[in-house]
Order: sequence, then structure tokens, then C-alpha cells
Amino acid sequence: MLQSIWKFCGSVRVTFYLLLVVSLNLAIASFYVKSNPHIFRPLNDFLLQDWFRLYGENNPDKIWWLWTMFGLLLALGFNTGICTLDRIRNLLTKRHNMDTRVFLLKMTPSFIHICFLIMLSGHLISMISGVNKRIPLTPELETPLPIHAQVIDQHCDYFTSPELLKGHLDQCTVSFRLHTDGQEEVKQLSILNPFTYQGLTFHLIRDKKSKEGGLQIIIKRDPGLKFILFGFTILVLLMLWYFPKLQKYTKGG
Amino acid sequence: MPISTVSVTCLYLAGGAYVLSFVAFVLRKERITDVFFNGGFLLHTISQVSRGWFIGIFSSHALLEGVFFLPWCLAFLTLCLRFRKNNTHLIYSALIPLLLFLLIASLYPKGIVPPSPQGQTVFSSLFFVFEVMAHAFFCLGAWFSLRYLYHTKDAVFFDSFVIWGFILYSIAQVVGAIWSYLGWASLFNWSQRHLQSASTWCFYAGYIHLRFLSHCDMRKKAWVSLAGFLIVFYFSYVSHLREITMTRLGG
Repeated sequence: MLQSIWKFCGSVRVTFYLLLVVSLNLAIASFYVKSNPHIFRPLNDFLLQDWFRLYGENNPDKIWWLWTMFGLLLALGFNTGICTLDRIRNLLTKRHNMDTRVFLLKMTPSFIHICFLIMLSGHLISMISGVNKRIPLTPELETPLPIHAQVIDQHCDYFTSPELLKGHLDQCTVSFRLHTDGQEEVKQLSILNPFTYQGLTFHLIRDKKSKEGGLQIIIKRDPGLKFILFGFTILVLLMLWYFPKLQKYTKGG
Repeated sequence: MPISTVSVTCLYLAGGAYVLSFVAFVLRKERITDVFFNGGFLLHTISQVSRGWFIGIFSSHALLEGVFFLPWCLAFLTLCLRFRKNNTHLIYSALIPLLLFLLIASLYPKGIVPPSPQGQTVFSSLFFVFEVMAHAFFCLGAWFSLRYLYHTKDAVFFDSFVIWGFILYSIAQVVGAIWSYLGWASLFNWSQRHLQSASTWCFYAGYIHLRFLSHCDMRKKAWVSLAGFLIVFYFSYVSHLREITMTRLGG
């Protein structure tokens, strides 16, 4: 009985249907996010638990898809984990009958699944931990952290040529004097060029949709970042190796 | 002649050459089909490259704008396929989706959206290259699936197209995540665009798993591939079409 439940939970058929339902859930989510920006835009600026207290709690009819998404992704995570464990165990028992290259090829989907799990965990970590503060750009930045930041220079460059582009924004640069525990440092920040200071990353953002319609600073520490990037990059590299090899082996019988 | 005029003129000439190639294909004149198609592709490439300098300075966003870049990618893949395979009847049938997307491009405003500071990174360019190329793979995958459903004797190569589309789409997601982090301080944003990309990725991840299901034959895969392209078309291409209302420079 337990064995058949375990088999069902790790089956590829369940993976396929779960992925389809997750896809549908995300598609529905995209329409809710689009039509309720006042609820969901702040989700980018708060940790999930803080956002839920401030916005989610009062709008249960608009955020139901978030719970179904977490449930489905959790189920997908379990399904992937069980499937991977089973596959690795099976392949290890047959290892001595297999050529090393064939063994590695057969193991690759399991490695891809491990990367997927790392990536999924990274997203969860990013959502519930770290620092995520968006503050408007003012001469004395009111950082909610033990860092005092003072803007010492701020300017924007506009295109001067060609004629058609004249007056369009090219780049904005802000210079800061940062003080922490008696230490002082001057740092320069521009759009697309964040800097890191005491484990925090400072980003200059141009938010056309904000009420101020201008420049903002995002101070961030994202502990999930490395997991997501590592997991997804290795996943892609493994796929780039696996599928051509699989085609070659299939064609060669 | 201004470079913008070169770009637009070459686009129309390329369209004309592809139409002639299609006529030759229908009349089963293989060599003439090849000649017109290759000529059309050359003109199309000139149009696409010169579009990069449409407003006087180079803009990768202009060069890689989905509505214009997708038909070029479709033509490029068709050409690559022609070099690798001999099944001309099946390969040149791809002229039908190519001409449809080129028709939309020729009716679309030709001017470019002004470059924004957030778009001026190599990651933004790489993102569009991989994303639009993935869409082209999905599109041809869906087209060959359709052919397979109606002419079961046709060689089955839609599956490879969908798999390569998924790999390229995944690369686009990695590169796009880096761009998003640099430009908006987050690898993933709770926005319509990001959620729809995640939805598309999950759908095609499901498709990839079909190969491990014993009850799934090629016809079922073909149907899933077709459904996948409808999702891509609605989420990505229709959103490109919505950009028609944006302020444009040069036309």
C-alpha cells in the first residue's frame, strides 16, 4: 500500500499534470496581478509575510491563486524529489551493467531535477527572508538600516544626438556618502550598475509607474539569489548537454 | 537614401521574394523555390540589420523587436533546415507561417520605441535573441505538428523543434533574470510578463516529460505542441501587438 502511494507520488504522469496545472495557475495569476496592481505591486517591495499582513489579509478573494500556487509547487517539489530519489536508486543498482557515458546520460535528468529543486527553494528563500526596501531618492536617504546615506551628487544625461532621440533619458548617476560605525565611504550608483555595501546591494531604479514618477533606491539582501541563479544555470547547461547526446544515442540505436 | 528607407524597402522586397518562392513551391519548382527563398532571406537580413540603425545610432532593441525579429528567425530556421534535410515539401511549407508573421510586420508601425536606460545592457539584447528564437522554434514545432496531424507520413521532427525551443526559452529566462536583477533589483517580479513567462516555461516543461509517459504517442505530443504555441502566441505575440500604441521614433 505504502509502496504504491510512494510510486504514485513520484510518477512522471503526476509530474506532467502538476506542471500543466501550475502553468494554468500562473496564467490565472497573471490576470489577477494585471487587474489589481494596488494589491500585487507591493509584493515586489515586501517580504511575503509582511505583504500578507498589509495587503493580502484583507483581499482573500483576490489572492486565492497564491495559496493554490504554493500548494501546487510544494506538491511538484515532493513529486520531483521522490522521482529523483527513485531514479537514482534504480540506476545505481544497474550501474555495473552500464557504460559510464550511458550511466551519466541516464543520470542527467536526475541532476536536472535536483537543480530545479535548488531553484525552487531559492525562490522560497527570496520571498520570505533577507532585506527588501524601496525608498525615494532624497538628499538624506532615510534607510531603515544602521547605515546613514547622504546624496552628494545626482545628475541625469539626455541624448543630444541624433535629432530623433534628443531629450530622451540616457542614464542617471547618483553619488552617495555612506556612514556606518564611524566608517565613511563614497559610492556611485547608476541604472543597471548596482553596488554592494556591507552585504547589501543598492540599486538605482527608474519607476515610471510610481507616484513620484522618478528615481528610487532599492536596498536589497537576497539570500535566495545564488540558489536561483546556480540552479537555473546548471539546469540549462545540463539540458544543453543531455538532449543532443540523447538524440545521438537514439539515432545510433 | 536614409537607412530607415533601406530597412523598410528591403522588408517589402523580401516579402515579395518569399511570395514568389511560395508560388514556385506550390508549382513544385524546387530550384526556383530555393533561389527566391535565399534571395528573400538576404534582403530580409539587410532589412533587419539596417533596422538596428533606424534612428541614426545603433539600437539592439530596434533590431530585436519581436514583431520584426520573429519572421527573420523563422526564415533563418527554414534555411538551416533546408541545408540539413532534403524533405523540401515539408520544409518549405514553413513559408506559410513565415509569410503570415511577415504580413503582420509589414502592417506594423516601423518606427522604434525610444531606448530606455534599463535596456542598455548586453543581457537585455541576449534575452530578446533567445526569447524570440525560442518562439520561432515553438512556432515551427507547432506548424510541423499540424502537418503531422494531417499528413501522418510527414517526417516527425516537430519534437526536436519544441525541445530546442524549450532549451532556448530556458536560457532566455536565466539571462532575463540577470537583466531583471540589474534593472529592477529582483530576479523575478510579480508582474504579468514574468508570471506569463513562468506559465509558458511550466507548460513546455510538461511537454518535455511526455517522452517518459508510455501511453503518450506522437499524435498526443503534436496536440500538446500546438496548444503550447497558442499560449506563446497569446502571452508573447499579442503583448508585442499591444506595443503598437507606444510612442515611436521615425515612423
